[in-house]
Amino acid sequence: MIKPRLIKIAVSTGGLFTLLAFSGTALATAQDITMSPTTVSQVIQPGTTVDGNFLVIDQGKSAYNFQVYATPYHVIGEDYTPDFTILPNAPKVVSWFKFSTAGESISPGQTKSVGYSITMPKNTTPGGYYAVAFAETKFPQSGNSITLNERVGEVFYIEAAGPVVKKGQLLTWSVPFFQKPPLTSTMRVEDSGGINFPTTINVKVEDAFGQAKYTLATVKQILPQTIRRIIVPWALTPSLGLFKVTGTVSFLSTRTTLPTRWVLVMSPTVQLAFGLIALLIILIFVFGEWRKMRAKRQIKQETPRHPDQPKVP
Amino acid sequence: MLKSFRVVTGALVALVFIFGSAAVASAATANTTISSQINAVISLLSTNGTVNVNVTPTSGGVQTIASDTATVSTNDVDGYTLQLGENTGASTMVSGSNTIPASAGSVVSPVAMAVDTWGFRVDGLAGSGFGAGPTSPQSSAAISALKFAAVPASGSPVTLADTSAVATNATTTVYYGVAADTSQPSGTYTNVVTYTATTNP
Amino acid sequence: MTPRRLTFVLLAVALAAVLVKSQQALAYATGTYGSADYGMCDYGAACSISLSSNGNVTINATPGSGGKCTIQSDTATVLTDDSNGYTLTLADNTTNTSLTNGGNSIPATSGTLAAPSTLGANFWGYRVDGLGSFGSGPTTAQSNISPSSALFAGVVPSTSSPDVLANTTSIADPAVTTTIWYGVCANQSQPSGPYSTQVTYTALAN
Repeated sequence: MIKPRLIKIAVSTGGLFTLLAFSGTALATAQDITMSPTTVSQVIQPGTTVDGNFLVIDQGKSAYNFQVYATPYHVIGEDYTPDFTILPNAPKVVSWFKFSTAGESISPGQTKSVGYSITMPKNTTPGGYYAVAFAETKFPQSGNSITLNERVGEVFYIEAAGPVVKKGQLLTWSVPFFQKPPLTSTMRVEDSGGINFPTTINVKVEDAFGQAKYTLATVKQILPQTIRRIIVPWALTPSLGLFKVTGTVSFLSTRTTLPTRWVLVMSPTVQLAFGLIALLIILIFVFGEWRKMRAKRQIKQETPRHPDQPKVP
Repeated sequence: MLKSFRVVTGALVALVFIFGSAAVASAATANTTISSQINAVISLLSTNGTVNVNVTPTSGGVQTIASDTATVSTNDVDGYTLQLGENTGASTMVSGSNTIPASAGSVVSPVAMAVDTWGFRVDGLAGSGFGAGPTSPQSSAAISALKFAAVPASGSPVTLADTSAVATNATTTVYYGVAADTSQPSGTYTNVVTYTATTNP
Repeated sequence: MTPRRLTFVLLAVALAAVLVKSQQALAYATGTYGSADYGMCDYGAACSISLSSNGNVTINATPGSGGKCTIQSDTATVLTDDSNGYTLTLADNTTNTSLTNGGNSIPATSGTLAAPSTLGANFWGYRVDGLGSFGSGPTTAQSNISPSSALFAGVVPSTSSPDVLANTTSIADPAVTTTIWYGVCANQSQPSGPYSTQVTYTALAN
């Protein structure tokens, strides 16, 4: 049982809350934070420093403060879910970064250039190292609310110069024969070396008459010691058709022609329609057979027995 | 014979030279390559800097649900990933020494909200147990059967969107809910969450 | 006719031709007779012309909602002693007038030299201050600005009649420059990457 005093407070507070309820725009305004570029690749000699800069842009209608910092970057799983936590025993790449500012304020329409320098320790083993530089809004907290911070990041692909194992292979190329739209091809590429490499993928879908229906040309980065699953969906797949899928995959100076795959596409609706048609045909056939049998039986009954024909018990 | 041939040939060459020399080049061309690097950008916009989930509790417990929309744009051809996670380690809403703990549900196994908890949901989120919804904002109304989850820790955020192409104003609506009864001390409770948008490799 | 006689006939014809052509040059009605240097191509008879440009124009853009535009210039320099002047034209090197990057492209603006238009997001074009309907400018180099009211035209394809950027009636010595401004605008729906095309200037002695 709430004490009257508390109830009073609750009521008054509730009243206040009611005034404020869902007035998100009254208390806070939208924050729009943009960063450019979104990725950068650097080859750095261990023991040296490289400089660069990125832009933080306020394309929105409100000013805000933002902070700048770096985090590690790696991916989890074959679907490459990004992760910004420190891996145990991994080099502290974040400590290589210095920024010209830890944070600033920015106004609508303004662009701020943030400088960075990356100093690679002298004894860094040649290979790939990955980090993200984030620009994060710092919205002031207000009562009875969930404060939403936003951060956008630039992914750094850093290579410590020197001899490094570059090794990879195409693990699987999967295109099931029977599919519903969208027609989807899947490949898995492994990087078993010490540095990321780009994989150029070309996929073509043709109909049964050889007409090209869909082509895709894309480049995907494969990070070291990972397997990446690359899914190639054809968004405009029709609901019925027979298609041929071909393609190539190129990485590390090798080019692999993917085995040709045929795909029969049937949407659930088409499958249902075919199923109903098949059922109808079966029913017609069964009905026809039943009528034939019935007709035969009738004929037998109507035909009189020859006197010499023995009686059927 | 040969000498005569040479003489005639020489005369013909002279003729060609005289007439031909009048056709001196009177045109010139020059090529210029126009090149343009369109830089990659990624933008993240949330409708509100804060989401108010004010509750006027009752003895039986009521629930307030409010929404926020995260909008991402990028011209990076590899698309983007949008994630949501706690800003710090704390998953509770805090008001001084009082707290509203996070929902016991997870993204994979969300639960209907219990009184004196808070959480989030996204209608139809792939890989989640949230269900299709639809969710509607409500204010201090009966606790709905919709399922909510705790906002994950910063180290293991939930993926709200993962694309593989250019995106223009791609939106994701996140619903935040708080359920409270009169046993929950009054006060101003806060929590900070972070949306993260990065382009894909 | 004997070979010797044939030779004499040909030489006579050649001499006559030289005389006729020299007479034509002397009778050239440009009004500059006596005021120019003999021995040069002043009378339009045998002229040379040279043309140079920067070779590369880079118009990088960081896209923004609503479009962000970058404008940079190229300079076409013409030198000729043709007293009738020269005509400078511009066209794309090929039939594809877009800036291309693999399967992605930034098309040329729909504005023309006769009717230029403002540059919209995800288009590119050119302008010359004071030419046709472009307006007098002055245009200045800019990076990542909001679309302006400056008018641009699309570079025509190689199969079309090229746009005339300059048409003079006198000697271009010292060399005469024409500044051509190239602009591109991009918003966040334009896939990132390097885009390019090649344009051709042609300088023709009149």
